[in-house]
Amino acid sequence: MKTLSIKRVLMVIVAVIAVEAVAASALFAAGAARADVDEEEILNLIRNAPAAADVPLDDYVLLLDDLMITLHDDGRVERRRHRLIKVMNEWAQDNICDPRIAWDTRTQDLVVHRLRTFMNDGAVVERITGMDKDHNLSQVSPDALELCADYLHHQETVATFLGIEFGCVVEFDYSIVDKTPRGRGLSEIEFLQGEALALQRRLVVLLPAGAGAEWGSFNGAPECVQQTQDNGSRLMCWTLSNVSGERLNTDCAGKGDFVPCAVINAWLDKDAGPLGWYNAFGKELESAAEQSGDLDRKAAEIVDGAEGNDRFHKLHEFARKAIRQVRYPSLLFGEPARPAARVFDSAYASQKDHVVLLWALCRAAGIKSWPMLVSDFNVNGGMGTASAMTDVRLIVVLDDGRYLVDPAAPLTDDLAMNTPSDRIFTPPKTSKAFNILPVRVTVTGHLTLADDLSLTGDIKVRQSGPCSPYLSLAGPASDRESYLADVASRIAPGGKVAGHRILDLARHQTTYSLTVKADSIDPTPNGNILLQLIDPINLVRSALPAIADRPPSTRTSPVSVDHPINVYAKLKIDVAAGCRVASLPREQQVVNGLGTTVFKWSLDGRTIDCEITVDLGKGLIGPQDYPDLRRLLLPAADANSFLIVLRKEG
Amino acid sequence: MTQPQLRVMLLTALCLAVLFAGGARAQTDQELRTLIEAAGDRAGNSNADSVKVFDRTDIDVEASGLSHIRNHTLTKVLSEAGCGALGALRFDYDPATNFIEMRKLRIVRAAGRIEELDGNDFVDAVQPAHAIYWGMRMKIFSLPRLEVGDAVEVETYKKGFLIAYLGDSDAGDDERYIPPMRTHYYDMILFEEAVPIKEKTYTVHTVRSRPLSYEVYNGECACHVTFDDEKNHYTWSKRDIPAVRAEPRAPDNWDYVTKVVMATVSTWEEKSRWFDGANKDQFEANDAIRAKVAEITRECADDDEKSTLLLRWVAANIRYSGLSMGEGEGYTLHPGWMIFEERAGVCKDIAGMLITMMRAAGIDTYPAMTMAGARVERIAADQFNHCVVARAMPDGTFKMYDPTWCPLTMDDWSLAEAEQHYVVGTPEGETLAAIQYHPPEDCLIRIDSSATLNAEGDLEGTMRFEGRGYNDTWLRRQLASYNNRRAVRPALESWLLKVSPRAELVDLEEGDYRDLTRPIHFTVTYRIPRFGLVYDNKIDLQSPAVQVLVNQLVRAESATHTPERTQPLFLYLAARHVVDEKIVLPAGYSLDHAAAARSMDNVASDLTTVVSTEDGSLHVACSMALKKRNTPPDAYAGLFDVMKNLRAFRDETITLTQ
Repeated sequence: MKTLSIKRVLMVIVAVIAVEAVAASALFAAGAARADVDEEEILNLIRNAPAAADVPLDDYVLLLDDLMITLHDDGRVERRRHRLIKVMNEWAQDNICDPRIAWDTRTQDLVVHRLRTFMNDGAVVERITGMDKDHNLSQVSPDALELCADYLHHQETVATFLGIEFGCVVEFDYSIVDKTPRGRGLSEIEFLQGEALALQRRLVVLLPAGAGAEWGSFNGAPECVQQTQDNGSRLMCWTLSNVSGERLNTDCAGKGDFVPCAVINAWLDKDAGPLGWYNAFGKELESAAEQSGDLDRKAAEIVDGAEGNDRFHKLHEFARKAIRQVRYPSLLFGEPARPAARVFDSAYASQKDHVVLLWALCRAAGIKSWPMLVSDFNVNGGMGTASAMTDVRLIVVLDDGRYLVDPAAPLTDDLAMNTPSDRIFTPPKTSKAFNILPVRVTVTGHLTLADDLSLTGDIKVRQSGPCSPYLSLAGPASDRESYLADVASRIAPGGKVAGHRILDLARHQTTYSLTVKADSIDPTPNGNILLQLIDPINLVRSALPAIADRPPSTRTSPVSVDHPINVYAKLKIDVAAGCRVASLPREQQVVNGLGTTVFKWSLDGRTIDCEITVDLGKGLIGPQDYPDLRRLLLPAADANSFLIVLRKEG
Repeated sequence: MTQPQLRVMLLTALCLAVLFAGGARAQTDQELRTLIEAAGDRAGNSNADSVKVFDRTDIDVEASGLSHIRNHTLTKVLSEAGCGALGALRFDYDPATNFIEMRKLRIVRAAGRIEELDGNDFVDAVQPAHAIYWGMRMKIFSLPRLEVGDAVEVETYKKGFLIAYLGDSDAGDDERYIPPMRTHYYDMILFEEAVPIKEKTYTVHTVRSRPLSYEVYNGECACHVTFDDEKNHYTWSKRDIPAVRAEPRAPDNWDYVTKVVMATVSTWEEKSRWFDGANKDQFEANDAIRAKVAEITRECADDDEKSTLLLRWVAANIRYSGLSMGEGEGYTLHPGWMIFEERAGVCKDIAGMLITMMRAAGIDTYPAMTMAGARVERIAADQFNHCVVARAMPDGTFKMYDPTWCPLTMDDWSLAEAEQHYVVGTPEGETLAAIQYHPPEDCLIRIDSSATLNAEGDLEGTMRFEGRGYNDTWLRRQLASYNNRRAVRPALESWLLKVSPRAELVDLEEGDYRDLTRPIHFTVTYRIPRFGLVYDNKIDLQSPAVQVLVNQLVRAESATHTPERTQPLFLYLAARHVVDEKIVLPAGYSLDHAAAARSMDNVASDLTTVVSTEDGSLHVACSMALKKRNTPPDAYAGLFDVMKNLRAFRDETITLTQ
């Protein structure tokens, strides 16, 4: 089984960048790794910038992209970004010339050092005649936070680039500086490749004397060059040149799994160590979720009369419907958790505050639960840096097992499927919430197409792993009927459930049988009877990479298969005497390093035999292996793979 | 309608008016509780999350035009979601032109208890904004936890107007709130909202010398007019108003919800003269602008050519991003020199840039107000959301130019703005006018498809896309601005993937999207293994080009899946869609079965389809027109029928036989 073949590509990048690292070393030694770049260097970069025709796939080019992160000895953090951007075309004109800087007006200062445009005729536009220097800096409230008074100190400043024309170069240099110490040190992941070509990219981290630090370079990023200054402070510098732009495919794996990046954790408190932020986060949530009389009463009122798991379901439903969740990146780590009682009163919550409220309600009701962090990717050997975390959720222990809960969404069986355990971080860090279970579906059955062209039959479905529809089948009758009706309609178009039996019902393993009956199939105008039959793959569709909208010619990012997948179906279909099988779907067999797909169809007298197998291993699949993945999954994506053509005899 | 006719109509309305006795008076708390009870529950309000028990507005307009607006609402919470939605109240204002304060904020609990809240306890912040950064602010009031059955009572006082305008800083405190068109007042009331309303009342008092012209549209409401020695008093009201939900591709709700349009300005000519006067000093060119104009127009033969090239320069070089210039913002076009330096502005500023440059080229031009997305009623109230350019022609007519909507456009006026109302600002004064209708052929879009099918069902071919009018622009923008350069190919490939998941884009040949002297085209070369279903010496297939046409290029597609509408279908433009497809068949195959040819025609659309074979090739021809920019509900049935047939044609199997 081939899994991480993307490594081959990244190794090439490493080799290239290793050369750059030597150059970086020289640059570093010369003291050039800093946010201030002198005027002559800027003019040189502009003079030597490529023309649009030289870079036809780039809408803009970063001539310079410097980021300097300073951890001051009092714990304040300063981030200074200095960019020189050449605007190439209409898309760039419309999409990058009003960048938004998010910052917290309560705890930070935003300082714009330079905002100017070098026009093609040599003119430099820094401000409009007669207008203030800040005329083109506009502070606005984030859309997501418009009705959230407690969060509205998080603001965005829009920098409107002036004098934009194709071929101009914009210089934007700004800092965001903490007003007071945050006490968490640094916990950063910085991506060193973006959507645009970067001719020079530098990441510089400055740590005070005595600070502890751990860092790493991943996915082909160069190693950093270090230097200790006379005063004991430490400089670390990652330098890259000519980094090509890559636009990530929307359905790709988490970017931390493949985009070159640097990760750094730094701390001032020796006792806290690299996990200081992590433990602080756990304590912050614990404190915010402390019980209060009002909330205890509310929890008691909500669960009144309910028993078992229903007690949790009622609390969850309340949190989901009565609290409006707002998502804004800086609310996860840039804003202290609000007390649960305040969250309840305000009727809105960040994802973190939403978890705090549900946790407090669960605790009040005696339901074991704890919060956890989720990342979109497996952060490089578990360095677990804070800025790689994208969400927070609640693990709830119910009578039938542990559930992963998003307070804003209905409880679903496949939430854990979409969040495998290698992306979950639960204080303490070593605690794993779930094992990665394989996704398995087995369908067997016998159907009959009658003379009147109606279809009836019995099938048996076994689903295990996170795709098991346990919640749907164990829940209210209406949910169960709705789920089974959906399965019946997938077995045969227009198919309805004439009867069912639940044979096995447990978390991560369910088995049920269905009697399906579908009304007569109308022949097409050309006289064909099209039997668009079973698609068992649909039962695990959410676990599969979406290949249907991404052919190989535009695949540039890896995809991730998060669970091993095994689908097996074996069906018999008896065809009425009055019908003739004009065409069976093609037999298809694909075996490659990623897995196996076999679609077998045969006709024995009036009986059609169908056997389908799809096996796929877990792993990260790079663009070079994507054609193999597509070959494996195309049979399942193509409706014709399940289409039987019949004709009335005589 | 003439002014005397309008007055007759107003008098008739007066005679027919139904008076609402309770509109303006204060109510006791017990009366409020009774109204809340009577408002009912969720089931009685179409499952809404909240219901407005009443919404009463009283506006007193001073002789200067300064208005004092008192609004009193009572809203009942009907669901948990409603508790969350009403948990915070937002009131927008522009510190430069209006002022708002909370006079009363109370919660009437379901059990009857009333909680008084502090009207000064709010967070004041800049409004969220995109593309227009004028520093508008908002006050956010956070309410204590609401429960189902509670009601929120709000009384606000506001003065000023809603267009940004900075008064003279030395003037008295109220001066900044007086509207730029001094002594005048206008408004438009919409009666239906997203939540049901039990009673909505709107009262306006104007000085005797400033009577209101008004008219009710899209429905009915009660109205009455009285006067005394000092004031005219107007009241419009309506009860039991259901919530309104926009249907897909509906125009702006101004076009279909019950509304009253009112204005003290008696004619459009008066408005036109004011607009001209307010902006006449904004179009002075400086040396840099004159040099640029000379550079752009140096090879032009006449004013038509100059106008077109200047339009294209402005459209390409002045991007949409609006900064506040301070005094005059909101209704005054920024000076040309400022926009030339900024290279950015909103529609009025982009229009101002073009006027400045055209005037510098000796071309007589004026600013014009227009409304993109809804009609403008005949009452001379400000009903505009967009600004364009009018060029005075020798025959006394105006030729219209829109630099904001014309990036990457061959036309001087975007055909997505046909039939749009406008008023040109001139010293003489102009009346309301409308852009002419453009027939569907002016916005043609066509696919010329050529492919080869083999006996295994594999298809290889090309599709060439070309358009006219707005559809030419739309195709250019696929290549230039809707997608970044790396996304163009995947975007076009996704069109093919809807035909079959096996489709692969082999090559993309693009025309130069910046060349506005000829229509753009691009050609995709593709292959689709196993496209045809092979059986019994037959091959079944569907037309790939018709699938792409319907799935990607017909803008009515997503909005025409229900047989009836209560709101107009707003498509911005009339357009014709054409497929001409030739598929070379495998040797020995001929047409066995295809759907019969169609020919349909109605007031809003037409469709013809033909499938035939000739010299071993399958020929698929399809032509479909959407004839109207805005199809009213009573003309929708025919259009729906055409779309249904077009979709059926897309899905129909063509059978070949050996």
